[in-house]
Amino acid sequence: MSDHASPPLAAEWLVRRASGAAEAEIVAGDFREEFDERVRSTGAVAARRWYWRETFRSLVPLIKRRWNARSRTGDPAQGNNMFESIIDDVRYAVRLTRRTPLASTAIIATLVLGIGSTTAVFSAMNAVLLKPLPFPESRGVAELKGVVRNGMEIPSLAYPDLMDFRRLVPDFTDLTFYRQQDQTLQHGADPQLLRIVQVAENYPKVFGTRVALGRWFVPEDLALNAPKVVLLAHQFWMREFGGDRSIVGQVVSLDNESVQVIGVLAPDAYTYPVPSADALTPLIIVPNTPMTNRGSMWAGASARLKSGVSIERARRDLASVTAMISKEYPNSNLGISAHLLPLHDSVVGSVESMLKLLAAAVGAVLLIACINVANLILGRAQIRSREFAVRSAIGGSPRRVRRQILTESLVLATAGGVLGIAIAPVLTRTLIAVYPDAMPRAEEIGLDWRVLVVAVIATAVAGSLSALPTVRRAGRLDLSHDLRDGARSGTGRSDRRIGGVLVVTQVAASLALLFGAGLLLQTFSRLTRVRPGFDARNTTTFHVFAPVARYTASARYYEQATDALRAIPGVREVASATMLPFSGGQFVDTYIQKELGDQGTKNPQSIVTYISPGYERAVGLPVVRGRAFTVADDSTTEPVVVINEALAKRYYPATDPIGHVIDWNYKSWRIVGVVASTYLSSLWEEAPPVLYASTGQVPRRARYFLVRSDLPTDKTLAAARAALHRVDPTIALTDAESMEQRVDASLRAHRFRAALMVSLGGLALLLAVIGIYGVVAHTVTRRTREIGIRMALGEASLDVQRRVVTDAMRVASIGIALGVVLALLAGKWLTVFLVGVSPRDPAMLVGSALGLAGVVCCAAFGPARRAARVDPVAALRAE
Amino acid sequence: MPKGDFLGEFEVLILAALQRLGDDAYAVTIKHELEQRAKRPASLGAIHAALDRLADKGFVAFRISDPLPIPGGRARKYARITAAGVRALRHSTDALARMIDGLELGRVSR
Repeated sequence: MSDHASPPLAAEWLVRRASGAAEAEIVAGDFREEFDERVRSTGAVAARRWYWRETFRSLVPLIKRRWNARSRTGDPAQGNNMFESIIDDVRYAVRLTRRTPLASTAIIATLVLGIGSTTAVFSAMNAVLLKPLPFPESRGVAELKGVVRNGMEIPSLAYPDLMDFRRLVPDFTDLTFYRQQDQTLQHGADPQLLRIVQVAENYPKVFGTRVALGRWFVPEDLALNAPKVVLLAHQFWMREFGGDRSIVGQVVSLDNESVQVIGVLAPDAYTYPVPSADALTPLIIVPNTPMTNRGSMWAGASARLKSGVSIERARRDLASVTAMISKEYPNSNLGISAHLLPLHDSVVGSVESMLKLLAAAVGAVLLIACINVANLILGRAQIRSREFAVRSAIGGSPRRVRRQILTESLVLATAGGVLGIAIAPVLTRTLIAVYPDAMPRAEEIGLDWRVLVVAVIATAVAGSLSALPTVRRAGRLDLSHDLRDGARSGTGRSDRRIGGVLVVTQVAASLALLFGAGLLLQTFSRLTRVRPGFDARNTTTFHVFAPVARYTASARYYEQATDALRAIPGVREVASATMLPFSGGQFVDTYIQKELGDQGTKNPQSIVTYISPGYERAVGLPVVRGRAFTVADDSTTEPVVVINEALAKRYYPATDPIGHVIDWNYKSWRIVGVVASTYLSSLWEEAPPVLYASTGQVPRRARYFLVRSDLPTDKTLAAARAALHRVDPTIALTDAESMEQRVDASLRAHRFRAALMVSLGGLALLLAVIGIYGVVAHTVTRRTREIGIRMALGEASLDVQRRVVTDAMRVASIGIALGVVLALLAGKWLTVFLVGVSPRDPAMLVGSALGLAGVVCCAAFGPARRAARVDPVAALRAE
Repeated sequence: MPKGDFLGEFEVLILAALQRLGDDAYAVTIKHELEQRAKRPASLGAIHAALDRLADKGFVAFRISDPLPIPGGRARKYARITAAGVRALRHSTDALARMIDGLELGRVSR
């Protein structure tokens, strides 16, 4: 029998509650009967499990049934008293909300903004920071980074080193490598540049990649001279080929070569390092080229850790292997090591601090919004204090009154929360749209249960926080006083204290936000005044790639293209270069100063850029000494280089560098000129040393064109497009922007932060003004009688006015003092975003504090004037 | 017959079960009947809710039994189909039969 087995207590309790008192015995009895039988047939454990399952399946129908039963009999006593009265409270609150539409709208609108923006920011944080990357078991994957001699981390490593890691590091189940290699597709009307990742065969073992159609790469695809093949990404396949399944097996033209499509990736395939790349191709290793050279770090790599292996252990093992390799190959590998970083951190690293900043700022605004709502609710409750008193007098307990207030506040918060959640996706989309650069993982952002939980918590917190001051006040209800005087007079000490707390909190939070906004704005405006070191005006730039198949000597294409561009009317100078300032990508190399000989790791190292003659004129770069490249510098003349001032200062501090010789790239090069230093990737990092070589002596396939012209950028670009199309219609023109736009783009993050903080700071200030105005106005209303007496006794109206403002300022000054502390904390936290601005900038701090004091003063002034106009006779008679 | 008197599928099954069970119909036996004969899983809560609905329509009447004469014995709520219930059941099944008459539905294998 069932002697030893009894149903789960909690489940049984649930069943009884859901059944209602009258039926609890019968329903629970049915459960018990079935349970006992199951204990006999399937055992106690299975029976208990059944009981729980059955309970959950039964809860909704049982509750509905009980609900219906009650509405049928119309007997509220049958139900739970507490439950019933809550329903009553909610009904009453809804009625009240509708009776005061203006106040209710203000409250709900404030909450919608607060809760909506909190939800929006959290849904971004949730997708970007909290969720694992979207491929199977992504937590176990780490990216390898190369560490070069000056300690700088770069995203690539040398192929032979990677092969050694694969063999010798015991913590990896798989190590795979890849590189981005964009190619031009000739399909349809215009050639287009595809974002392509070249991958090793074992790529799916790390990234879990699956194909939807066709097949993955096999070893034969990666053999030297193998027929060329490509796998299309699902999205690209849908976009470009309309999801045509017969594409598999067909041949397309990439960089003017025939390439066979062997398949289509699954829609959810994760293509690292280029999110949503257009296609994958096999990465073919060509022996005895820089590809297999230990000194040449070109391959990106990621590894999957064995289960149970910590990242720390893998790092230690990797370090000992790199140490071993450096010992074995000191020439190439001394001072070179590798670092292991969880892939998730690597992907979201840059955005983390920004999102946290956003969250803190939005949280502060939500707090200020709650305080305002609290203030509004308090005001409304005070008008109703006679109602509360009557409720108490006829037997409503203070607890009941407090619950009523809390319910009202929660009803308002729920309305705000529901609308807030509704507008959150719009806000999130706006955030992604205005976010500088592409936000990593933006495509994964959306509402999920975690976001909803946070939204619900934000709503609950907002509702309770807003009700808190009123609830506290209701606890100290002075029955006889309130009944007698109603809403007309009286200034309870507690009221004033609550109002004071509201003002102090708002002032403090606003000051911190304003100070932060000021620091970021100052950083931004400083940066816009920095000169980049060249003349960015009137120069249009774009990228082209001359494919090998068509141009075995790429120089020929660039000569023709340069001539065609020069022929455009209004164009004053045309040049090309492998890299442009502010266009991303840098190539760093090491060379030997002839007069010093090989110094091993102390050899000079700098950025190397290949430029065509005329570059310095096209980009407006001053030649400081010596000369720039000319068309006469070609493969038949002496190899020459030009250096920038930063390089001259670092490696030729005492002498004139002109005429000195360096050994580099298996040749000797003579320095013939020095040009001014320029900022290269940002206006806040020091201008780095750069070595310039001429494309006349070292031809390069992929280059940027620079066109200095009197025409506006769009006209220049259209003309350039047409001119290049005439030279070769199969080559795509990409990444087109004016030089000014490029410099400007480097400031996007600063502008975004400044704009964000200024708008949130402004919003906070606006809410604070409304709040402070409300508190002061309320105080004046409640003190009308006192003011009347004072004026009857001879106080001048100007003094009344001054006293009201002074009172407000006294409270605000506490808020300002607190705000200064908060602001300094915020500043410390903002340090990473500041350039040339101190995080405790005293002028900014004093300015914000004074500004805020001024604003409080203005907010208090309105009610103060009203106080001064009080008619003493009327005020006294009113009592 | 007015439209409101048509029964849901679950209600039809319950009424049929009541008629089969006769005097021994209460939630637990109805559940077994539904599971064994109709292969239709149903929670005790859903059965209670459906019985109440049917009682509201006048198709089912209840009788609360005395507690069983054993330690911990409890009362059962027996359900009985009313004459109106029988009519409604016939009405629904007839409608169904007329609708599916002559349809080729194939065999549903279990």
